[in-house]
Amino acid sequence: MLTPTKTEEKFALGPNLKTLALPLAASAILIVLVIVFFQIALSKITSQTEEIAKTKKEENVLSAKLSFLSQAESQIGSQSEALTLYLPDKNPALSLIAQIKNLASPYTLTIENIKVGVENKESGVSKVDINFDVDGPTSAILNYLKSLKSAMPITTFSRVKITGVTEVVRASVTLSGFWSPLLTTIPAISEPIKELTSEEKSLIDQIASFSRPPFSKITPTNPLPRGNPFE
Amino acid sequence: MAINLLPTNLVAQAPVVKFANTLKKIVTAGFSIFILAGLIVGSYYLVNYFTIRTSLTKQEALKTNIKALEQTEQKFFLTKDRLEKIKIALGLESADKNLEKLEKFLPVVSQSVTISEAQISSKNTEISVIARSSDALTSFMGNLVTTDVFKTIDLTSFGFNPVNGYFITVEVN
Repeated sequence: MLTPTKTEEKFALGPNLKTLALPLAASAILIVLVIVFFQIALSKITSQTEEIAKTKKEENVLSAKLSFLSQAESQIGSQSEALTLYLPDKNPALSLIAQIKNLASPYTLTIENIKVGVENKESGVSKVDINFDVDGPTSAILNYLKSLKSAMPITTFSRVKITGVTEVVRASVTLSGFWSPLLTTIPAISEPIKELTSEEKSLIDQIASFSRPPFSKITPTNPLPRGNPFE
Repeated sequence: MAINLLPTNLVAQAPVVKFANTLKKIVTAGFSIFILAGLIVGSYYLVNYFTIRTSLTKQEALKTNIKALEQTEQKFFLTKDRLEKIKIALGLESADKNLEKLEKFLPVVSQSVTISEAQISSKNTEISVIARSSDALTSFMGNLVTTDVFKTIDLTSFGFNPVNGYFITVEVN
């Protein structure tokens, strides 16, 4: 019978350890696998869940936007046109002068001394002051001033001075007109649309009913043929 | 009966063998559960993956439809922008409210007084009046108070002339 040498005896695994080696190694591998797998799976599933929530949200935003735009398509064109006439993108002094003169005629008022002031900018909107004198009966002047408020473009009164003791009085009016440049960029397609509030809708309806300026755009005309002065 | 001829020092002890067998069973069960869990997690991952892909495809289709309505979108944002700016302009200091108040008050002024001047600004309204008699003046002042149009009434000047009567200036707000 072969007997192990002293060195072999020293390095040989004991029979107990030999029996336990395989199950212990397998359980160690299982534990490592479980830890690694669940760590990866957990992070992947978490990021996927977040992505699902994000995409669902974006999808809802886009469908809401699409349904809103499809419904609003018919109305929005006229609304934006009315609002652009009410608050133009350029100095409205000319349209305002036209309105000042036009609206005075139904009341048979006399307009004099129209002066346009300098432009200045106030909290996001540009402003121009127009001074003028209007002569006529007090009640007609007051109605005329009221009609200016319900006309396009937008105006506010900076100062009104009514003088005179006779039937015909004079009102010296300082009217402010406003304008603001148009938007150059629109928000990203995925940005949600903030619908108009009922207050905004009623303001649009009110503005749409205001009297429009006699001209909103001055279009250049072609040069006319020159007549022969000797004919 | 089988006889174990191996020397006792080469055979594992019985409790160790029992423990090793139990451990083997546990590990086998563990691996089975692990594979099952892996399959479940994998399926869940696949379901999520396809959900995301479907949603992204849907989004692309929605974006194409929205792009077709680009002009409406532009007009809507223009409307929003104009409304915002209109609100700013209407919110600026002006004489509009004081003018409205004067419009409400003037119809109740009696014929016996003459308004010689009215200055309307964003801060207040200054009204100069000529009254032929003290009764007319009293009635005017009474109207100023009873109409409830003005919150504050300051008498800034008072004069009398035997030819024209009383001259007063009131600052109302």
